[in-house]
Amino acid sequence: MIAARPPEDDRSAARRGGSKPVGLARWSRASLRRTLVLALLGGMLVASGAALWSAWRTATRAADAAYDRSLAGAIKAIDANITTAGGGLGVELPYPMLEFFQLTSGGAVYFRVATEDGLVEIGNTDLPAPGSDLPTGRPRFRNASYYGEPIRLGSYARELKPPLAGHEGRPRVVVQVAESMGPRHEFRRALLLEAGARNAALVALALLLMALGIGWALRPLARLSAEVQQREPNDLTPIDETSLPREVRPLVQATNHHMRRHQQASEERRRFVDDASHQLRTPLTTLATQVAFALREAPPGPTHDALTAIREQLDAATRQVNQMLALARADSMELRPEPVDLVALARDLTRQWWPRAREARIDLGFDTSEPTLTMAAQPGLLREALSNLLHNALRYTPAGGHVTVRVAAEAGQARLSVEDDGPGLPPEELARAGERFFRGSGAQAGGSGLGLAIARAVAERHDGHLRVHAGPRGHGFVARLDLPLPPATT
Amino acid sequence: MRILLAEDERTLATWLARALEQSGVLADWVDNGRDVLPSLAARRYDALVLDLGLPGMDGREVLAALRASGEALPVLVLTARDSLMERVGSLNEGADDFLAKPFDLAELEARLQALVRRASGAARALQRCGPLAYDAAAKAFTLQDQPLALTPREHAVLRTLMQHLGQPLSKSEILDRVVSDERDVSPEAIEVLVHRLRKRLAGSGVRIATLRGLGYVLEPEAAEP
Repeated sequence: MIAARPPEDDRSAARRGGSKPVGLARWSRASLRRTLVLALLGGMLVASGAALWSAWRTATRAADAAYDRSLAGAIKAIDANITTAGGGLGVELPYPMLEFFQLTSGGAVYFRVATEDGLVEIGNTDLPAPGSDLPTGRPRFRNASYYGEPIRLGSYARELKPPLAGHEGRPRVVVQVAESMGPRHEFRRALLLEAGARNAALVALALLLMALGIGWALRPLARLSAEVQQREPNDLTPIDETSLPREVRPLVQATNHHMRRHQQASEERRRFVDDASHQLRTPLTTLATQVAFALREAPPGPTHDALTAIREQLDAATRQVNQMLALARADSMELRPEPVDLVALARDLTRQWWPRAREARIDLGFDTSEPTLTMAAQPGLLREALSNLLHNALRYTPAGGHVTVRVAAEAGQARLSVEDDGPGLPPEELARAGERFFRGSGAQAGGSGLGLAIARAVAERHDGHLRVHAGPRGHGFVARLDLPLPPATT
Repeated sequence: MRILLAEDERTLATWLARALEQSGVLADWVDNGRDVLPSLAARRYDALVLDLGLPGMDGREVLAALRASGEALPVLVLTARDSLMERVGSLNEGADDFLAKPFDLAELEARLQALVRRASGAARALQRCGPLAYDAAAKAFTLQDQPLALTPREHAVLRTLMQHLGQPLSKSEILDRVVSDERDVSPEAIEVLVHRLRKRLAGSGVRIATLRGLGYVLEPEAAEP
């Protein structure tokens, strides 16, 4: 989907951008999906933390309410067994009840019955005191500690009727029952765990839905990139944006705008090259005609010599202009590839060049093992490229030498090469061959320094390469156009 | 010879006319596409030299109108624009020949002479290649002025090579020109015929050369380094 670009691309894109993205910017550049999931995950974790805190409070309250009720029951039961008969304070402990209570509570249970003035105490007499503000007739509960153990302490006070003898005033009787906090903590933890599990399940579900939703929402982008990838290289028609999500449309509109501008610019460049060719060639033609006229009129002598020199210079300038225009055309020409049989093209061209080779006493040959080799290309440009390679080869090969044009299909490429057994290029110059206006140390006067550059531009316009190397056994020079063949023909 | 020169560059046209006159070619000049057809109707010309980038009516329209009127006048097209050159080159829109600017004056004159000669039907009666000669009227070869006896097939192959001097022909191209309808002749048969012809020409000063990957060409032996 959107993560179709390998991460290396992102890094190199960052390098090209010149600035190192930091923090969030880097995350969001890496992947929309990751950014959204991370944002959602953060939010969900905070929300579920708050929910757990609130669940903890609710569970505490619920546990206290439930457990305090049974604590109150125990207080009532003890209270009902307090006797003051005989003037003293007595408690007949309801042992079965206490046992039962202890059983259901699941922890230690303590109790204390005492008069408020502390003169009489029964049970676990060192339980923490209830405090002086204990209301009469209403049990009160609080957390306390008993020998280091956290306990819940219920305290209850009432008037004694009749009052006890030997006490001043009318002291109240206080009943306290305590149980360890363990069980209610257990209860609370169970509630909390349940809430936690529920939250976790919810977060997981939300993330899953999010991931699926993003994938689904990004599907138009995947379609878009497939569509753009399948385009012909020179297809600059606007991308259809109607079926795309609203958020993506500005991007596509901007891209369309950019392509339109690019198209206009290359159209202008093409027109300029065409106009320039007319503007440059017309005066050259006039000049050549005038010189030719003058040469015929001038008697042998200094004027004739000067005119001959002018014509030579003019020929050199003409060739230079033609080469520069050919290079500009190779760069700017709108490619309209058509099926071209490279074998036929190369053979025809070799044949056209044969008379010139013959004149220079060079053995020009053609060699291929392919009956035909067809690919989509611009035949005019290929002929221009091959002509330049042939021109170079014939120029640098001495009389009696050999030049061979070869067509081969290898490694998914069509290879058009021109091989000569001339002096070749020293290794350090081989690397620079094909650069514009580069001329080797052995170059003859009158060359444009553009022949290989034109061949290279043509190869690159066809997604191919120009390779140059020394010939077999290190002699001579080979220039080869490698052009990618469609997969079906390899 | 009188030609009509349709060219909108005044200086070029002036000097071209003067230079052509040196070789005995008289040129009348028009600088607008619309004037071409009326000028051709007003006077008899041997050829038309037509620049494609004419104002008024561009060269291709002129050419189309000319051919539509059934006029067989030889036309040599000139252009300085690659874009136009390409179209004319690939579509052959009724031009007999074309030259890209800048051209060599001698080249223009040679092409014009060839066009006019071809149009007048005055093909050279006698073709020569070293000591070998072909008399088109008699349809007979002579070698060192002696009649050369050939079988019809050998005759056809040698005549084909003679008509394409300086231009290599592959076996299948020779075959196409030698055999009109029989389909059972293989290109290897050409090899046999060439072998026999070589025997007949051996030591005479003319030979059939084999060119690597390109085919055969007939040439005088003196041309060999």
